[in-house]
Amino acid sequence: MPQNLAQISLAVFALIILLFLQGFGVLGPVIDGSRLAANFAIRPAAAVLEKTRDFTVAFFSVHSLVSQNEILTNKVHSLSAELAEAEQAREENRILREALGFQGETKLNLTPAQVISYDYLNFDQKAILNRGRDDGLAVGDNVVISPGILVGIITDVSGKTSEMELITSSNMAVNGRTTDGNATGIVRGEHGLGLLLDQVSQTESLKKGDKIVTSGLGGKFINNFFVGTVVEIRSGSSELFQTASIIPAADFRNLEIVFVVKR
Amino acid sequence: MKRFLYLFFFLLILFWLEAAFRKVFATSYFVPQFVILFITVFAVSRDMKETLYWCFIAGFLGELFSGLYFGTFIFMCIIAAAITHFVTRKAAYQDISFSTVMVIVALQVLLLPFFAWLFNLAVGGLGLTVHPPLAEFFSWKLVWRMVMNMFLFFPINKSFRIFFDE
Repeated sequence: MPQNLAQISLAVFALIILLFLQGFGVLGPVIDGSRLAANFAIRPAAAVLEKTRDFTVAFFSVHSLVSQNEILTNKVHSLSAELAEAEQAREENRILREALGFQGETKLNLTPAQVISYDYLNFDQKAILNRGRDDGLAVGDNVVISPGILVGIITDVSGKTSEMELITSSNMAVNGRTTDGNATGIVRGEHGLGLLLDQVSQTESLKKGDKIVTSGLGGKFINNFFVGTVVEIRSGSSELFQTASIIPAADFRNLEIVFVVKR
Repeated sequence: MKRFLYLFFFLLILFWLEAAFRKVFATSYFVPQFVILFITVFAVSRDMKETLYWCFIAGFLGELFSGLYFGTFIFMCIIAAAITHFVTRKAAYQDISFSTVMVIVALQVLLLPFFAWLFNLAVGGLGLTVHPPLAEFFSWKLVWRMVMNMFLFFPINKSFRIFFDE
């Protein structure tokens, strides 16, 4: 046993050396190349598994598909009407902006990226993207899916790959507000389970169905990215702040293509 | 050299399977930890020194998609090997029975997240990363991981014995 302990200590020491090598970026190109090669190699197996998963899900949900279809058809009709109104409002907005000499909307510098893998250990809420420093990505870049739905932020960048932390991670805190501007707070991840809007003052108006967008405060996240919809107000009126559960705007488990917003 | 290549190929197949499952069933606890199971079946019959070499090889593959700071998965492999060695050399017979496997897998599933957190705490202390909270590493869904790992241990162990127990 003492011999085993000595060997384990030696292995931990070797690991510390590897940590330093990684810290100096020596292992970066090796990890990058291996990630891309592994991603390429697993494609056939992943395709087969995806088909199996989709078939199984469809098989077990065939009963609910009919009622869902009816609900979705109604939803399409109502959204089509909303879209027509929104287009009209956009046109009015453009005309008014021109008349008042407002600055035009800033065009985002987007880089498309593919999600190679999610956190292998399943402890954290991270994903690996197939774009890196060579594509102009940097730590702190926001990650969205079309059209402007916030999904995460770049936390680590190698030459050809990068790591994105999802906003559902409990490490994350995003300054958010309701679209009508009546309430502001901090959106936090709940261990990957969902989102929580916290620190909303009792004097502010927050209700079920409110849409939450990034406020841009602090500069970490660009403003007006859609985060999610309030589904439940959790706190009572006696508490100092209001808290609400948010349904994220995207399904974070099935991200394939995302867009990195380069600063 | 030939033996090393065959072993490496065996490990690659397990990694390939785990990576594909992780990609399709992201964040699911039903996906077995094939790479950790490789280290476990290896540690049952091989000495610590050789197992530790393989911890670095298998660990490096795990690091590719680990998401946590570099070294966490290698460290977990080392701990997995140490747990297996302790159970099979000190606490039970080296011959693998169902109860021994249950103990090894249960210990691994419960202790590895803790050691992963500890590793990130140490790395966070050096200012290299922000260590995630302990609660993030534990979930009742780990029970599913335990069941799947136990279920998959025997076929992997059997294949390993057939091909590599010279």
